[in-house]
Amino acid sequence: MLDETTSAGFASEADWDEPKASEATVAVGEAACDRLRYASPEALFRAERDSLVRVLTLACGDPALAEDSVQEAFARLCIKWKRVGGYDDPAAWVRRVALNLAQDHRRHLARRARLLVRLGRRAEDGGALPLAVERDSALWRALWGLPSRQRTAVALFYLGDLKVAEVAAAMKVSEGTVKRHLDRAREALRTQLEASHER
Amino acid sequence: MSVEYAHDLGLREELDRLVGYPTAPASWSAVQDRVRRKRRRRRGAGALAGAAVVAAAGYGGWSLYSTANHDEPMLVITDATSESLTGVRAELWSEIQRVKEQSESGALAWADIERTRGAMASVWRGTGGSDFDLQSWLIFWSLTEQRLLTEDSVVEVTIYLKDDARPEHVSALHAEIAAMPGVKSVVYMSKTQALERLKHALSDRPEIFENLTGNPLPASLEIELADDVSPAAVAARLAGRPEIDDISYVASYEQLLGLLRGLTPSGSTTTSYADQAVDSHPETTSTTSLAASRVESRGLWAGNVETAPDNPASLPPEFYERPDYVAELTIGEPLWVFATELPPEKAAAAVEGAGDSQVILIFDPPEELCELLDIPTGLRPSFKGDLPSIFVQRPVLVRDRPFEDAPAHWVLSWLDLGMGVSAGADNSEYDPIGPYEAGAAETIWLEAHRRGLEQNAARTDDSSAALAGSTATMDAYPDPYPIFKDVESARAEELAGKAAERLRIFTGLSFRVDQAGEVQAIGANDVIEHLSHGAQLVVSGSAKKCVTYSVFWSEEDQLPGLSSANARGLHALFDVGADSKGVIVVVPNGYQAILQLADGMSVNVTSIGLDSDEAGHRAPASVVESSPLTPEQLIEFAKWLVVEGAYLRL
Repeated sequence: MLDETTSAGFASEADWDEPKASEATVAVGEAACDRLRYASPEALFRAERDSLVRVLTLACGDPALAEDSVQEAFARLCIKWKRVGGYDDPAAWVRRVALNLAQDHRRHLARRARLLVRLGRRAEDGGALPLAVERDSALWRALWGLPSRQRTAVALFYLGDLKVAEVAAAMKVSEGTVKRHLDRAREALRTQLEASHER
Repeated sequence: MSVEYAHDLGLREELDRLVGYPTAPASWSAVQDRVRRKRRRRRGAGALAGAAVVAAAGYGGWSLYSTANHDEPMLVITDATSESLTGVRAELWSEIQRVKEQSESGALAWADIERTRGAMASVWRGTGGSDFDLQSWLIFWSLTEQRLLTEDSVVEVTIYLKDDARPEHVSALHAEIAAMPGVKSVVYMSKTQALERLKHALSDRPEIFENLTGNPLPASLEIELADDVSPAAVAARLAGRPEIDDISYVASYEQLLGLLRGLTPSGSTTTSYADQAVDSHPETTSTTSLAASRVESRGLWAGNVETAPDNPASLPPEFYERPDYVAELTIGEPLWVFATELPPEKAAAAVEGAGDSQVILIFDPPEELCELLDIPTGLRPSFKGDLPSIFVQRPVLVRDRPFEDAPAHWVLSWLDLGMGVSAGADNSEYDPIGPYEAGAAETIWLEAHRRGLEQNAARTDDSSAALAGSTATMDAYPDPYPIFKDVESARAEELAGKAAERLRIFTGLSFRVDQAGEVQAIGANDVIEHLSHGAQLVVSGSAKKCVTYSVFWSEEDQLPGLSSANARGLHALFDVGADSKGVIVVVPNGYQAILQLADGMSVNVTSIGLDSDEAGHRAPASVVESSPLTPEQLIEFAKWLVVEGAYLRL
């Protein structure tokens, strides 16, 4: 059994909005305000790129795909900056685009794999995706045991340092759904990690 | 800092260590390179299209190839002349040349072309999805030119046959098709011939066939039609035959012509219904603000047939206001008719009463409605209107059954015409295979939302204690009206057998399995949203004494109040919390145990009368007395079911 200092000590019932009022999240709040004041797509890129690449790496499991999706999203941002730059939170737009690009790519791979299989060839892209971390990590295995939407929610909330509402906007679901995804993900992670530690 | 949040930080730190930071530095110049490439491609659209025509001179045949980087295609087209073309073929040729010239001059931007994505998807699948780009667009029109010039060799409908189709059935089908009016020829293409033809066509890519085992290609019947015969009508007539696996057909020249005629440079008048509606709206006509909004977010609301206006100008101003909550929703422009919701006469009357320029898509029209409207059966959505070619039907299953107990009503969706067809990857979480699918999904969502809220509102008024805690969000209502389907299940029967044995141990009574099976709740688009295994166990020698249970476990889609148990008439009222991972309901006469796993396997025992004691949900004494289990035994049995039924997790 894990103790509270280990990674698996996740609360089973968390008020997801409550931590935003805590001392630890003031910086997050300020960062959120900063996001609204980007003067150019480049400024937004410099502020958000690393975080977004990490989120996508966790969400899709492929750092190269993550980097590519983020670059493409920012390229689209440049072209649409006149419009998107006027949004309340252009970073949210980039996040959505990047997430969708990564998901589309994975769907594309899946479609191609199906086509190849139908033609009698082995699907070259249908196997495991390159991982950003060592495969032996218990946490990584546990994360990859989660449904993709739960994993995406975890990535956005924890790695992306986003509020529940921002995660909801990025995933195009309700805040309640995000909270449910997070609750379930944490519960599943805790169970998985406890089991692996006991082994 | 709360204790819970400290734990959250623990997870955050773990993830920080796990993923690490990007090893490559942030490269803004790489982004800028992408932007330059994108802009160059847009500018190059016209030049490339023009170059294709120039390059055609001197070549006796036609071919198509890409440049080394596969980014920008060069097309080499036949030197055959178009002077012999007549009628719709000549018009289409002319339109293709017009579009090319406008592309070359820069009048037609890539953004304009991109707006045809949805329409292209309906005439050529390969160009409508996420792969829609200049290359595929140019290829398509190059092939269309080829088709115009070599019309005699064009196969218009291809019937793919099932591998196990009996030869005599195929022969009969062949003869039947050959006898159909307007069929010029029918050619049987065997599997072997199909493979040989493919190998010949891909003779420069032999590696594709290196690892081929067997022949994956189906045999087919290739049908050539007279000019005045619709391939879609022929396909519809043949659809559903047992020996047929699939049918494909090429778009008619009229469809293609209409598509190109709708492709006009920004700023010019378009022919879309939405534009006409906006143009004719008294509040907005000729205002600069409207012009601006049309560039940025051209669109309008659309509803179902009940609210489809005869005259778009009669719509209130808010009809054109871009909504906040679905601002990025992107679909096409038709008004939708959910035919299954309405009596055929009513739907037909509404369609017939629509304005001349109004496009209406009819989803899943029953045969009776097809007859009334004189449209082919078997197509969905079907189409009736005077803009026939831009938004041609694609087979999209929106809903295959009526919303049973509600009148037709507004199902509003914002139809964004300006950015819609190009925004799939940007703004839609749906696989962007076409704007209609996104629209269809959104409509189902809105409908589910409305109904979910209605039902929750009704429950709030209900004094029932069992329902008071329902969560008033739509999350719990992925589809409030699923179809429940009973299916046989060896696993369910196995569980029932174990349960009978377990009850015998608990009670000392002998139980037999009266019935056992699986109930599937099938939601929109045929997705199984909910699954349960249930059984009725009867005490031997006493038919009145029984235990009935339903075990289900669903990650995403709990259906409060519409449980499988309800569907089976078990009268099990239970409240499913939004956070529940799974619930087990056990109903031994008069008692009910509810296990909500998310709450740490807590067990609630309530007593609900099978005879519907509404006021207090207390079972009549006679029922309680007849129960074979004490409440304590019930709890133990429910716990046992939790463990045994965990395999149901979807």
